[in-house]
Amino acid sequence: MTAHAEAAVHGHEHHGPPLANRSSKVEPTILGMLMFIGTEAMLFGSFFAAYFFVRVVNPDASTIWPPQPYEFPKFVAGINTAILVTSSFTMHWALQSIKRNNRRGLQAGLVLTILMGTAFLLTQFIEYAHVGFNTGDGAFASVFFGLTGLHGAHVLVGLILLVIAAVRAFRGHYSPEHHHGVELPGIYWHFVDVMWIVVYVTVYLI
Amino acid sequence: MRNPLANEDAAFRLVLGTIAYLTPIVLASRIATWLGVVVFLAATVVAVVVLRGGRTSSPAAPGTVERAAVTDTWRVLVIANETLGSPRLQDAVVRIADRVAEDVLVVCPVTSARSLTGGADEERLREAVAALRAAGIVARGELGDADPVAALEVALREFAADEIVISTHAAGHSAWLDQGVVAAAGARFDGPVTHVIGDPPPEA
Repeated sequence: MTAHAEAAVHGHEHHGPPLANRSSKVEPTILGMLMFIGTEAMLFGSFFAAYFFVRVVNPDASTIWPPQPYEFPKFVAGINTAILVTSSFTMHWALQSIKRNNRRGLQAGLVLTILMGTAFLLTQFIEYAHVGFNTGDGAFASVFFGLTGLHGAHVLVGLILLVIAAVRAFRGHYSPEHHHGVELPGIYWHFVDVMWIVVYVTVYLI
Repeated sequence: MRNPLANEDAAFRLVLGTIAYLTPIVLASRIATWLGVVVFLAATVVAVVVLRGGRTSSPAAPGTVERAAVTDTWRVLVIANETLGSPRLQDAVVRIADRVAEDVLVVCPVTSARSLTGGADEERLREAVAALRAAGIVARGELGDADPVAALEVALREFAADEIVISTHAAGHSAWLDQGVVAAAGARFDGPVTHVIGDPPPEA
């Protein structure tokens, strides 16, 4: 009998307050993350609505976008997109590694993901410095910085979560059975990645 | 409707799906705006169909064994007590674990009169886990609440199961079936629930 089982032998009789009622079939931690991401989707949705509104009311938008004399650094943003998409692969690799009890893989995957997320943020700051317009240069510029800046803030939050997960990974806190502390930041990171792909396509490409 | 953010695997597939969804739209819009709109509508329909094509939460038919849909780690939660030593139960778990990296947690809800039978519960559990391990399955066990549904709920909080296997006696001889344990598990778990009619182990 494992230590786990032995502990359960003495602990199966419930003590203390009654267990909380659960009407949902979804794990509370997963449900919390889903609700959080739902609010995030609505937040991004409002910014997208503002962006498309600015674009629709601009009479020249169908032929010239962004408004003259501005230009989007599509190439740099494309490289940044590639970096962020690749970081989703390393994040996924990290999770697959711990599920197979490969702690080195988990650590390497998390570190690579953090490095690529940091590279994304730094590149975005450099892009801001060279983009040629600022938040005060009209509604278009305001919405551009608002939308991409909102996403950048989420990348920063994701990085903080990943750093916490990485520290715990290096301390050996995760196992094939218990790795929620990596799984939830992973879900968040992929969500941030999805949002960037949508931002990149709608703002830079279409 | 499939939840695209149910876990990290699903979220990763969402990233890939988003790329697959947006790429034709971008390419088509480069050719002509109207074509981009048409592809957007078509791709959206496809995306909705894919998202609606998820697994249903209805329990599996009694006596059948659901097979793993992915080759990743497949976590199986086994709920059984008096039929723990059943060859049918072991065969069912072995079949599920075939060709996938499995992780099996066997939970044995203790009988009510634990003072009299607690040792027997533990002994059955120990032997069942040992038999699964002997069959090459990564398995561990623990005793649970006397109420099998409560034991299931507690186990699911710590063990993110992909599939549940419940072993009972045949209908008419099973208190768990009379209580509707299998149906209750199906209502609480968004995944396959396999019901095995286990026979008591042969007397030594």
